[in-house]
Amino acid sequence: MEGSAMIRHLAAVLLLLILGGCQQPSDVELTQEEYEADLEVRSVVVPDTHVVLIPVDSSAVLPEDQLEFRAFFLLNNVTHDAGGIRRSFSYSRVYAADSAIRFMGRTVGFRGMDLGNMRLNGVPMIKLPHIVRIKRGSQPDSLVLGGFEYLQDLTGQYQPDQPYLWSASTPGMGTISQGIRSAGNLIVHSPAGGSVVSREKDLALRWTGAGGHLSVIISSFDPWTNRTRPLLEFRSRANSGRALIPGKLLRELPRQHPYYVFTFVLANRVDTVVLQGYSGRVMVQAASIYNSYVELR
Amino acid sequence: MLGLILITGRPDLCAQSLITARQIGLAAYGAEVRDSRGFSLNPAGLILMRDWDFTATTYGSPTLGRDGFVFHGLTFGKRFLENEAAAFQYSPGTSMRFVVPPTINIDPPNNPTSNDREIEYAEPFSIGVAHRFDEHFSVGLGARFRRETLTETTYEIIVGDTATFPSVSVEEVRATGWNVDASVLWRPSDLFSLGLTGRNLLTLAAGDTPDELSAYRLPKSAIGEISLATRATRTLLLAASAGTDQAGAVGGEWTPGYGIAIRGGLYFNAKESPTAYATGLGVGWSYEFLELGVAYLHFFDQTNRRGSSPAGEFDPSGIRNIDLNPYTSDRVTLTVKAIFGNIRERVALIESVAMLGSVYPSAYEVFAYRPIGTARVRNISSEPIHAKAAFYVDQYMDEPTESGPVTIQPGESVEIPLTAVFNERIRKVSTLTIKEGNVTINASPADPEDDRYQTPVLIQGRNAWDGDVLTLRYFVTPDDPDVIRYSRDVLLNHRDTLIQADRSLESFQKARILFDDLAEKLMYVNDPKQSADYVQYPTETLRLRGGDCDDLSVCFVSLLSSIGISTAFVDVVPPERPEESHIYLLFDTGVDPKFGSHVSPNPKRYVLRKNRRDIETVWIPVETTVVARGFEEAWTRGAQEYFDDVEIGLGTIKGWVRIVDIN
Repeated sequence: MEGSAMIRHLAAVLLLLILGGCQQPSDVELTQEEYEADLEVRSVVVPDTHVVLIPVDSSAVLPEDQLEFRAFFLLNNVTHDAGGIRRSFSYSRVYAADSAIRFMGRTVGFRGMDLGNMRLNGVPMIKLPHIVRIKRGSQPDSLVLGGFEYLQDLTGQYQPDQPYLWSASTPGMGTISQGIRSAGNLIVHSPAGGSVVSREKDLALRWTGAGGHLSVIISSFDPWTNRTRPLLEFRSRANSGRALIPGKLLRELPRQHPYYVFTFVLANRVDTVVLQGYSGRVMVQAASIYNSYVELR
Repeated sequence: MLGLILITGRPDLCAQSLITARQIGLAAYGAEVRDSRGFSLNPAGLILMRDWDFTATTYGSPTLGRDGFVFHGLTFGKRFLENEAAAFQYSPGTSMRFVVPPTINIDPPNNPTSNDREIEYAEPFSIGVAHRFDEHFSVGLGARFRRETLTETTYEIIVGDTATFPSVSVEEVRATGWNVDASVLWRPSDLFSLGLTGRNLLTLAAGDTPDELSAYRLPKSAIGEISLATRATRTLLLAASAGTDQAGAVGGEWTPGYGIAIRGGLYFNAKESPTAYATGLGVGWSYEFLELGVAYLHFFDQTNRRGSSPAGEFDPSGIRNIDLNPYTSDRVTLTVKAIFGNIRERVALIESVAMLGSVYPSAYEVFAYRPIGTARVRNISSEPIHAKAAFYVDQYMDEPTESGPVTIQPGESVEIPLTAVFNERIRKVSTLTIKEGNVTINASPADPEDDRYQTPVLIQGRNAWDGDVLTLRYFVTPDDPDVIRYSRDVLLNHRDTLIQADRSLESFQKARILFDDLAEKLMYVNDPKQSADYVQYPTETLRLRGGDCDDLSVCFVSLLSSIGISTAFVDVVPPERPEESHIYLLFDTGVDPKFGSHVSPNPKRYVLRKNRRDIETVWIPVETTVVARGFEEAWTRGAQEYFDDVEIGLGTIKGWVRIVDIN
């Protein structure tokens, strides 16, 4: 091959190589300090039901789950932080739905099964009548007693990150034994309870607390009725203690409600439990719940 | 222009481009733009292209931990006519995208993950034109199409009775426009060049700029740059540049030979830390139409240059250039340049051409050996060259006549003689004519030419004579059929006389017969222009029945030569009376000197000299001006003149008499 012909071949090969440099120029990543958290945002479904549900801010169970699951073993440590007012309590509740309670042709609740003598860590729980509320518009709710549920006030006794065991011996279901490890202590630094949060700026979420999956539920809050309406659930992929909610998402939250509750939930949950002789789904959950009440402007 | 730039605004953009390995290696490139590579730095440099020019560039970023290369762009350039050039650049690689990663994902996997925000700056197209006013000064105009795009992820929350639905969408806003640059390039010699470039002198926006984008726009203020390049030695080029943006560069290129170039440069910026913030190193290799370049650009401080930067510190106003800015990472660049058409960089330059005089058609053959002029040629390359000069005059030459190769050392100039092989058509030029002579220089057999030069060539009329007796012989045409026919006819008419004559005096008798015949037909007359520079060809003299001494001598010599008699011109230029210069002739009788008395008993009436066979014979001087009086009188006058001029005046010894043999 002559020299010039070889050069032509070389030129052709090089041009192909260059034109084949098909990668795009590298991006420059403008990193945010809280980038690692990476929250997944989920919609919150509030089923169209006449069953009165228990608030998320104290149960850490979303409305949809309250209807999906029929039996609950809950161990919750709850804090409400409104800035000047901070209240904490701990409790355990056990309830297994039985038959439906109907009123005017509509299901308004379920009777609670009698699970015998339920103990938590060997300590007998209080067996109470299960109260079903029937909403009557602007009038006070009517109360219907249907079966039983079990409660234990653990305020002052609750130990984070410790094993807890529910046990009972029932006539119909035999022996029940469900254990779980309590969630770690959860403290929320941002948003601080009682603070004013700008809708136009990114909101940094900061917390400390390990030993469980962390999620944040944003709920609108009506201070006059003291009722909350869960709107969005944020699930943290890596409970790193920090996350960022873009201002352009906060801007979209309904403006008729200036007050919101950021419910931080650090939970250990088992939802595959099977109780002998019980056909419904069972949820066993230990959660640290921290509610920050803020005003969005 | 620089002053204009200085007052038009705050400097923000530095004039750098990374689309060519040579630019990266040399760092200070503004005065060294000589083709389509990096022409946006100084469009005026496009004028230095030879013809078609094509460049392709790719780069990789080793410090980003990515494999593979990015196609930076390709450029086409073309030089038009002698003084115009244009280029187009497609550069998808002149692009930078800043991304703000998402902090939330809406309802995965139903919604794809998109960046929270993307800001992209790109200059995918550039054009440039250049015009050369003269060999040293050219101007250029360039325009860069810039695109600035903001892609924003937006959210919506729909609150229903039974559920809350977050959704995500992506909105894109864009601003486009042309940024216009202007430049000049001054090259007083091949050793020095000065470039001035004004960038962003004019911004032509296409449409309105969306409000959302205003916080992310790049600065558009004008900037000026001055750049210098000088060839310190024949193998070392030094370059420097400085801009009103407080950025500058210095660099050098060493060309040891074999087409190899080694480059190195330093980049400066007062706003960077350290001030000398980057270095470029490169190697180039050129062969025939191909040129390869590889360069590595390294930044001394890698902060923000490894593909990420804190979002809070992002400042678009600090992005002075899409290619080279505080976020640019180290890169390896590979450039291929190919030249098409007139593909070779010229290595020789014609500095001047000097014609040594007019062309006399009568003596056109002499220029095949004797220079018609000289071309002063300089080697502008860094290696010795073997240059050949060619000369061509349209119509009167069938092909260019090429000189032999002349070796010229780098930077040296030599005079190359130009010769010319004319065709017969030149003998038909009747009056003084001026033609265009084309001189080309070629330093490589593979390519057509390195340089071209045009010079006027004076072609005299066919009868013009330069007065030199040496060239008078070119009017002698013994082979002319009319001459041959005339001499044959005359001798045939005197056949009886010749038969009876002494054989040893045959040539003498033939000459006498021919001359006497002429005496009956011709007469002496002066030149039509009263000038000694007009000589008739023998056929013209025979047809016109007369002529001056030159014409008659030429005619008689032609007739004698046509029958094989040797002749010579006697050119007499009396030193004290040059205006009385004169020509007569001698012819060879072929008679041995010992038989000279057979020709004439008076030895002063003939001359003894050697003929072309180096044999001494008897020669007869003839003064043709007295042609009308017959041979005897012409011989007598000729012998007397020869005796006076040569024997008494010693003209041949003193040099004012020249005897020029014709055959």
